[in-house]
Amino acid sequence: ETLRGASMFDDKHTFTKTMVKFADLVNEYYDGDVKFDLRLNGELGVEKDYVTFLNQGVAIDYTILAPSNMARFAPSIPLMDMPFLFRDLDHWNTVLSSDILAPLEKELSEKADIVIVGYAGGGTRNLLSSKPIMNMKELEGHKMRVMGAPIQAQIFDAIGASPSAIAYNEVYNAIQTGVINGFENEAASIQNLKFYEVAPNVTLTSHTITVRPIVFSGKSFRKLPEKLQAAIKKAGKEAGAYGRELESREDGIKLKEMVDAGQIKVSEFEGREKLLDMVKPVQDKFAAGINATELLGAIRATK
Amino acid sequence: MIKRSLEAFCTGLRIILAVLVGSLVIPVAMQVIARYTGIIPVFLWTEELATFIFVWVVMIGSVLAVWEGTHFDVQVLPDSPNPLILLIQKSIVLLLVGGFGFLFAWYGIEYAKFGGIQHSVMMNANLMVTHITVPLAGLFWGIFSLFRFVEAFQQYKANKRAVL
Amino acid sequence: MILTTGVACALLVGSFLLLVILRVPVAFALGIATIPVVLLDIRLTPFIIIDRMFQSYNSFILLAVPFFLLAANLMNSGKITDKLIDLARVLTGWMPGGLGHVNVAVSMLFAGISGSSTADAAGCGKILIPSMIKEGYDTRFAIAITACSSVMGVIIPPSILMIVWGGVMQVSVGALFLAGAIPGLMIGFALMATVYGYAKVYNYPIAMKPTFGTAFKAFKGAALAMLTPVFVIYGIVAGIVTPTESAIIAAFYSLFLGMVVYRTVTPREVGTILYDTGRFASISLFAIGTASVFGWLLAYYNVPRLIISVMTNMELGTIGTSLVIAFLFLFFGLFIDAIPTIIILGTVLLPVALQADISPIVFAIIGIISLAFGLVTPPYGLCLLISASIGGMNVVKVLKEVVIILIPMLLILLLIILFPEIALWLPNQLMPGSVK
Ligand code: NA
Ligand code: NA
Repeated sequence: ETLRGASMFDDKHTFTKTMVKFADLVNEYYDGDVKFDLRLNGELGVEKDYVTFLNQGVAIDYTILAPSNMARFAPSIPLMDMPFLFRDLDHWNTVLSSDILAPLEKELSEKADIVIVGYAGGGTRNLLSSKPIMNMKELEGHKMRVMGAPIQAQIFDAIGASPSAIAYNEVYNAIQTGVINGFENEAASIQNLKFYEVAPNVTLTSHTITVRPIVFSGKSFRKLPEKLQAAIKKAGKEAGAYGRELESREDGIKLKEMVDAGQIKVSEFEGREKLLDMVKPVQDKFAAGINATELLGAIRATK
Repeated sequence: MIKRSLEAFCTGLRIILAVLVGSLVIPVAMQVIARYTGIIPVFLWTEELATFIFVWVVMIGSVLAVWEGTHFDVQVLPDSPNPLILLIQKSIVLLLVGGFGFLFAWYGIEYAKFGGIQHSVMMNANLMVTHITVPLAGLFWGIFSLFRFVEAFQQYKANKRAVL
Repeated sequence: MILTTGVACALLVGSFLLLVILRVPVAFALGIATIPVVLLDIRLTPFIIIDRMFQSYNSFILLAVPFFLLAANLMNSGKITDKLIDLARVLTGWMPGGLGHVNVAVSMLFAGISGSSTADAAGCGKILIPSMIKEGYDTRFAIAITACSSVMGVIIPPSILMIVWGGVMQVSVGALFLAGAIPGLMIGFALMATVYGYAKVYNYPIAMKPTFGTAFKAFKGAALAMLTPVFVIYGIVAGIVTPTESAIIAAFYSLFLGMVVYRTVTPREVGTILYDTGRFASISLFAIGTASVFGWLLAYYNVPRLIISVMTNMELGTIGTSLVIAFLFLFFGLFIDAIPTIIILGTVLLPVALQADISPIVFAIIGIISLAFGLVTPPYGLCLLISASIGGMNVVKVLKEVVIILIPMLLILLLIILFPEIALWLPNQLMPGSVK
């Protein structure tokens, strides 16, 4: 049995390392013969394509995905990495180690035939801009690019920024020339894609701590022997925990590397707590729209 | 008779194509205007709408080009002076393209259904709206190629020479 | 079964070549060639082929293609092209081989306005090829010089290819535009030198001797059209629009010139132009789809990875690597369109280039010039196909001329590889922040 995986990144990226760990763990927990073929560097496409492959059970069997890529199938999935959902890393880790997100897993499995076997992630998303954005006043009307989901735009709109429609691969040029003044992202992307060259000011809003499910194609999964399925689920959970620890640690290191290299200037946001209040109505409305009010409540109530 | 109705159908497609290309400008222009004037709010769906129209433009254009025979081919070997060989060569090309079209249409049905279980993030449009172009385009590549094949065959029989 | 790299690669490339020889349209040949592999390999399904193709259209950057084409078509129908030709006549028509020089010069002017080479080949070719034949030029030469000079369209800014490249590989499009200017002009002058050589050998006539009056009239006529690059490049550099959006500025300005200023375009004609744009754009965009599938399958069978490992093992150094990169782009350009090649090959070679200390901007310029040459190299060279069909001649018959004209152009490419400063100088002067 050969299981095929895909990563958009090279072998140094935490997603890749997490998937390698996942393969090792499956081999450890499963007695039978199973091989892994992991394709790197976006050789097989981008994450959006992987979703299609998984849904159809072709080309690849497993990968790690940003939830927004699955929103086309299951509109409630973006709740997982909605901005200002988690208070801090501890809160985030507790939620992901529990079964709180099971309703989302169920919806994804029904609508997209994709099985979540674990949760990696751990990048902290901050504002990134050409001019410093350090307080409410500077945030007011700040022209920034947001990810392509309505909830993202609504949240940044609610805190006073002016979200803009720019394709991701035009962001670098758009900031450089001043079409927009910034966007939001995590340290790894800022470093890899050299966004610091055009937007060297990082404001620590920590609005999102990323959740990146380790996903398996439902069609491939059902074909596997039961024992292997069990091994995959167990390995997925543990690889997820490994990936979360690794990425949240590396995230801090990468940020510091860029500071030390003089590539970015980091500053706190004055009155971050206020942002949490401002976005609450938007979050509530979104949750109500996808019948997830209870789920949102449960996440917020988690200590 | 068949030819005339197919030709009329293509005229319709041509008009639709022109209208779509014209309307392609609108969402992108709105994107720029919204950013600078604030007269209209920033629409995050402009990019989505533009890509939707774009897909239709490409697919309709590809169908018309099969009808008109304007997809680029490359002549590597010189034409044979024997009209029968020419007919055979032309038939192979038309049947291959036609077969590819029908194959595309057949599997495209599955693909359109696959679009049907998805919704676009911004406009919440059912993605069948774009995915349906796949079986439709395949179907018309097939029909048009088949028609051209029959036409070439009849012309050969009528004139005992192939028309290129 | 599961195919090995060798078998899959042979099947893909083999069936593609066979289909092309049979005269299956290239866009379809790329698609049909994938069928045997998909049928044989249990891991692949037709669904995946359809999806790969469909998703390649899902890119906002590709909108630059129809928009720049629309602008160029508006210029062609609005007689703006004629005004550029008048200007080119005044500038270069007095030299021996006059119309040949005009052909090159108008392509340089057109290139500065438009981001598309094919529109140049079609628009200027339609006027210049017949008039060159009438004045006694060899048809083969007329076709070849039209095709070869049109490649400047994507080298001299603005350029569709640079917009796509900048978006895919995170390079400043502004810097790429600036980097393309000098190499583009050098290619133009190399072409003129070639024309001069031809004129001496075959005794080609001069076209006209300009008087002060004709010169003034020509400059005045073309002045407004020549403002287009100012708007487009200013729009990008000043941050008013993104590069993709800049294409609609060019389109709107051309529309304004054609309908309001020159009044050569009627509303009814706009409909025809929109249709022509859609039809032509979709023919080449459709090919991007099937080429993407083809490229994806090559990647699936590890072909690019093989190329990289071979290249890194050879340790060629900066110049050696640049040469191999140029060769690979030239080779891919023989068979498929430039944009899918950027997406497939460009991203694969970027790490190789960086490892060999090639600046991303120089890498881009080498890639884009090589791909631009692919526009005139058969079997798949759109500009050559267009010019040949205008001249009413088989592509095979003009090959010798194309090769002769291409040689000096290849020498310019070699110069840029040896002295990357040629490309880097201008962006270094004007946008030092974006060259790192
Ligand atoms: Na140009
Ligand atoms: Na070519």
